[in-house]
Amino acid sequence: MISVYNLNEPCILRKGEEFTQLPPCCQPSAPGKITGRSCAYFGARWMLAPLKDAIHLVHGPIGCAYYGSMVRANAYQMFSTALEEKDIIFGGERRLTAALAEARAIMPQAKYILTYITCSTALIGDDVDSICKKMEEKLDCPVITVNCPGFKGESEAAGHRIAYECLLNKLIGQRERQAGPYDINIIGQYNVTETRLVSSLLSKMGLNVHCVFTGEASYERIVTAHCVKLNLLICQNTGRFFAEAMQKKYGVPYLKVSFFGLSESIDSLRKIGRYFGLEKEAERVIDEEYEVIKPQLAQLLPRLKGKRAAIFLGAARVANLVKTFKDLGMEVLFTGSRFGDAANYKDAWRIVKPGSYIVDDPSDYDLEYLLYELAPDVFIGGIKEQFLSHKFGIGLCLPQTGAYVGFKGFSSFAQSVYAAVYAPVWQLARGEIT
Amino acid sequence: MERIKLNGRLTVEDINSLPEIPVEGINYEQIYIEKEPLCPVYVPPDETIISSAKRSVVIDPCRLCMPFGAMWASVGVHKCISFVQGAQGCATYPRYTFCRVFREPVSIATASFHEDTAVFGGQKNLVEGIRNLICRYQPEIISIVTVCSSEIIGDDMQGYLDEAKGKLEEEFGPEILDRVKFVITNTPSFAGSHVEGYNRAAKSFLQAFARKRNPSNKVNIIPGMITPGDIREIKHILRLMDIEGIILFDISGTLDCPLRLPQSMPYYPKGGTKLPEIADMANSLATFALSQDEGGAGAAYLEKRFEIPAIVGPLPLGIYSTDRLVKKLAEVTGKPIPEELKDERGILLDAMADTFHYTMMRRVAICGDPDIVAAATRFASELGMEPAVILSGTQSKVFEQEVRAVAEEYNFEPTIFNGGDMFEWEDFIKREKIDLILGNSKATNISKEAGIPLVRIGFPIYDRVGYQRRANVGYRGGEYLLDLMVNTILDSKFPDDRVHQ
Repeated sequence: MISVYNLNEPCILRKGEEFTQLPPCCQPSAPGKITGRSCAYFGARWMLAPLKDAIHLVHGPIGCAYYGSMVRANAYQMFSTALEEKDIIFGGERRLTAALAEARAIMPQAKYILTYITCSTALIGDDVDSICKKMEEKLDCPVITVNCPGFKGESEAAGHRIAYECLLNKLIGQRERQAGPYDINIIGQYNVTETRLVSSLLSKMGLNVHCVFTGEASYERIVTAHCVKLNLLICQNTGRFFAEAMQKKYGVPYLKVSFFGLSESIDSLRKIGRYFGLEKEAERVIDEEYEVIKPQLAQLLPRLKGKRAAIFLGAARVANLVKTFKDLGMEVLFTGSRFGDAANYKDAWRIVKPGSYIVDDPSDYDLEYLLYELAPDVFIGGIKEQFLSHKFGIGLCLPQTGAYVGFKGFSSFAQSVYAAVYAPVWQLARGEIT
Repeated sequence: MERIKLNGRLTVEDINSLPEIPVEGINYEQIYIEKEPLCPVYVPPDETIISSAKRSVVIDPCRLCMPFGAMWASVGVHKCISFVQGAQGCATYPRYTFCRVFREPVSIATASFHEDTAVFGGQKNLVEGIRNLICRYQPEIISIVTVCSSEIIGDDMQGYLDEAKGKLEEEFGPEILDRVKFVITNTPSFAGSHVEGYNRAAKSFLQAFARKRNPSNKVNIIPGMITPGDIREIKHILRLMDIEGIILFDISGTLDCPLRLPQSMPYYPKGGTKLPEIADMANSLATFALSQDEGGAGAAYLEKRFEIPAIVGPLPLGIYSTDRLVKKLAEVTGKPIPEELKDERGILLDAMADTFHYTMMRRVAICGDPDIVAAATRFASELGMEPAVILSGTQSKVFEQEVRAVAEEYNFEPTIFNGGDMFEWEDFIKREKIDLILGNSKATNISKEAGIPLVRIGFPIYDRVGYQRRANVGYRGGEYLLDLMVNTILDSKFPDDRVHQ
């Protein structure tokens, strides 16, 4: 068979003793690759799906609406223009106009409408922007164009940015409110359950969480989101642009924090405490929360010590999860992401041990290779990687749908990792019947 | 009656103030909404545009895109990888869907369309992409699937493929084209749903690979989009009848694979229809397309081109439809119907006899793909149930005819939504008295909100495990489905202390 392996894109790099060079990132995937990357529309949905008082309308053929309705293992209601052949030929503008009016009539209680553009409607050149503007007056609510055709950008990261641009340009700053002394926003927390965990942690410190992008963001809170004292930036990749723009435009400073992992949570709470002069409260929350999970950690950590993990998740987790595994006393064999940028990989490079791999946009083949060669004890990935990993006898832990933030989250993460490492099935599967 | 605030969570007071569930059905006021509603009080939708026929907007569609059907077909072929001529999402979203439903890894390559492709076309992507795919994965068949974007751009797929083949020959020598075969399926999503995609793939695979040689004693089976468990059941029937069959798009060995360590690299499932088998389909006794809308085009092609009689539908679910399949199989091959199969039929009938008390006159709502919905309608009728509202997510003439025929035979008057969406179906369910829902996972929220139990059938089922391994077709499949339905009724309609017979 052919043994050529030359795609001109080394996506795997191994950390040597000296800093050499990062994986090339933010490049389009090579054609023919079985990549884990998705499209801009996927990225935009990933961010905007939890916005609950909006009508989400996809202007395109039916498939995009079907796929877009499921985000993070949650089903959301989707409206679609479901374009047909004749619409593609004669243009879908009339259909969009009618669909917007009907959607509004069906959901009169919705506060605003998000119209997603797909590959098809971008290619046939429908003027969605002007229709939305026209309908805005007629329907008496903001109608926002999310310009996210699938071919835009290199990966879903393009969609993340588009989504935040929409919020920034069309919604934020529409109304004013009096900001309390401890009012904050959280940027980059999308999982609804995790949002609640983080919010409760912060309110224990005496802070008032105004708006969470986008895990808990109602229309009223979004339009007044600029009237806060501080933005907490959690997902550094998707949210960085947004936090910087808020600072520039409205003078709201931001603080980089993370609640994934024990040391990160403690650091972040102290950082926030220092900012607001709530050091004592921060220490109290840390002590209280840590006390609760101590017994369980005492049980789990000794058994996890020295186990080897591999990470392949969203960009913000590339470096972040390495720290979390350090908290667990585990070793990281490789860490990577589909759409990370140079900053993520540099962060990771600094903290991984020599000999570890850093991976950007690996194909299935590369992942298989790494799993096969390195045989980690646990693999942290998404659902696409889950079953592949299981076929190689390696337990996978899915952090995207669980609630793993904060202290209690850390202990349940430890539990999930423990489950993936020690599930008896792996031992049984390695046995033979002869 | 007091209006209950739908605040996302019911309190003890809310529960105490709930009146008894009325016999006529469940009113909107009483619906328990687990999802957080938009506002504290419920605003009913505009009556005039509830019907999907009267509006342009589609709400919660019950159909997927056409390329997905073609990818499903390709997954059922041994060492075949789909190459999606479109953006990355067009490959990744289907992969998510396969993973969710079947809990198996699925490899789908993407042509990786970006802004430059939208301007210059996808020629470079296809030529380069095919080379890259062959280098890494060494597939035996590459199934090229077009999507909306490449169809709108107007990519000349055949021309690009010829160029790609020329380049491969130049680089790797002429024998490369013996090792890798190609098939192109045109699937613009704006021209139909996943059902049509599977249908088109059935035709394009046969067009590309079926070759006339010596006649054989085999029968062709094009199953349609049914589960690996279903396909195993069809194989079981063939084995009992001592008939050799070729199953086109046999996903039973690719989407339900054993875990056997150590696993070799790269991962390829052992199963799937093999290329020589597809070639041999031009020489069989007959073609059975079990689902008219999913694979009927393949059977029609074989009939037209190679004069192999096509026997189309119905999906063998329940007594009548399975009988029809078994009788036709016996007729075509001249083999007798074995005692064992007659016993299996008897066991299903016995189970039906023992449970008719629970199933008679129950009103059911059914949703899903046209073929399985039509088949389930007939099976429900055989159990004495009354299908009250039937939704086919994809529009289909055959579906409507079949359902009308069943309705006439069993004397009930169903509301049929042909090619409708979940929104109108949901509205009907919440207004009328319905006892049971037969549908896919898309109906889960509706079932929960309306408080009507759901029996999961069809595609996709992603919120429960194991459904992809169970058969609903054949006599044994009917038995399983019947038990599932009756147990669900027992769970929901009878107090626990009344079922200790």
